[in-house]
Amino acid sequence: MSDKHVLDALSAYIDGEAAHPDRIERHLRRCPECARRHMELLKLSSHLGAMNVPEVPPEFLTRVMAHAREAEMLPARRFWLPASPGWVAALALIVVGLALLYGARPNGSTPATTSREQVAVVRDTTLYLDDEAVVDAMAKLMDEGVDLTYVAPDASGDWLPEDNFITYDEMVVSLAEEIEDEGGDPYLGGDTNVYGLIDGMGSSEAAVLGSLLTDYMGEG
Amino acid sequence: MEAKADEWMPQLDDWELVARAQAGDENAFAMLVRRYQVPVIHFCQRMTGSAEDAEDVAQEAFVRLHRHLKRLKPQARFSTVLFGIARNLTLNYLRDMKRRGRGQSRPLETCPLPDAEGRRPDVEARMGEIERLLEEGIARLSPAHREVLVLREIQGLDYDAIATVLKCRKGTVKSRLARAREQLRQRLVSLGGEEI
Ligand SMILES: [Zn+2]
Repeated sequence: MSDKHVLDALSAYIDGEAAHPDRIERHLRRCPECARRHMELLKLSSHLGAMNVPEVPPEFLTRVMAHAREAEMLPARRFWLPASPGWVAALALIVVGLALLYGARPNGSTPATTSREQVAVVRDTTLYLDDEAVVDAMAKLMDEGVDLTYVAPDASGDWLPEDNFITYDEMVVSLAEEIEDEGGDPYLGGDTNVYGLIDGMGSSEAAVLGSLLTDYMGEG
Repeated sequence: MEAKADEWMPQLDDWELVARAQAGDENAFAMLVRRYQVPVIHFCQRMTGSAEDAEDVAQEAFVRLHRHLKRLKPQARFSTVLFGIARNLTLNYLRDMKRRGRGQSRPLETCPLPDAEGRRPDVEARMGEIERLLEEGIARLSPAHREVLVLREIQGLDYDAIATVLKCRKGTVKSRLARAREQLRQRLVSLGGEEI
């Protein structure tokens, strides 16, 4: 039996999540290098756990309650607000979403063809779309047989079948993994950056999708 | 009177409080906020690198929780729902900062100050130094590595809970956390914390 170093497994080991804790334990008794790293990780953990906890001002609760009440009073908002600044961001997200769904690289030149018609509805934080309107419009589209994906910044669409719902960050994460697979660092480096990709979507693509969406949503 | 409500509220678990809040009980919702304000603000602070902005982001997280109350079902651990909302908001925050050219989150200035007499025991100074190094190290991690590290090491969530918050597989949590710790460890060493 080989007795390889266990450095890569130590993180899971200290959390009690290692696949073979016995093997790691045995190795640690014989290997000073791994034992030292083990100690370092434990220390790192204890330092992190001991970091200063923020002091919360008493007004925090008051503010939350006031804003929560205020939000409740707001009238139902329009479904799409094409003129708002959030619209641009929302469109960028739609394009990325579709590129992913079609199995094409966002900046690639050969989008895979698919017979499935897909529309992504985006709920951007800046838009505060009215829930009821979203639900109604989506139900209507699904009735018409449109294969639809809802890209949301939070879990607000999780009532949908799994295939029809993706959160904004699931999308970011899958993009990131794609970039990582190709040897890039998704969170550094200019154009290969996930956020850069999203921000750098072409306006013509966005316009096409915008009109597509307006067609669908317009009647609503 | 609020104080009176608090006498029995603490005995209710999170989902019981949610149920009361869903029925319109504001005290129950306030109790949830009180129960989670420190961890949520702390999480937002570590993610955004700004104590001030963290409060705003955390506030928005609770407001959203309130707005989505009616649709919450007691299926997952409540904290994972709340951290999920807070996490999405911090990612949006980081994205917006990046657009404005402030991509990197800054280390916080929470180094303990000397007391009135100007004394600062060695141990305390050493702790402050470590904390400063840690903050700097955390701020330099990518958001994906930072969030998994903060949820595990600072919030104490287990792998299953983290996977629920991040909506990813447990294996992803495991590998990402290992990488985050390794990056932080190396950075601490290079920043001068030889023996962490
Ligand atoms: Zn070894």
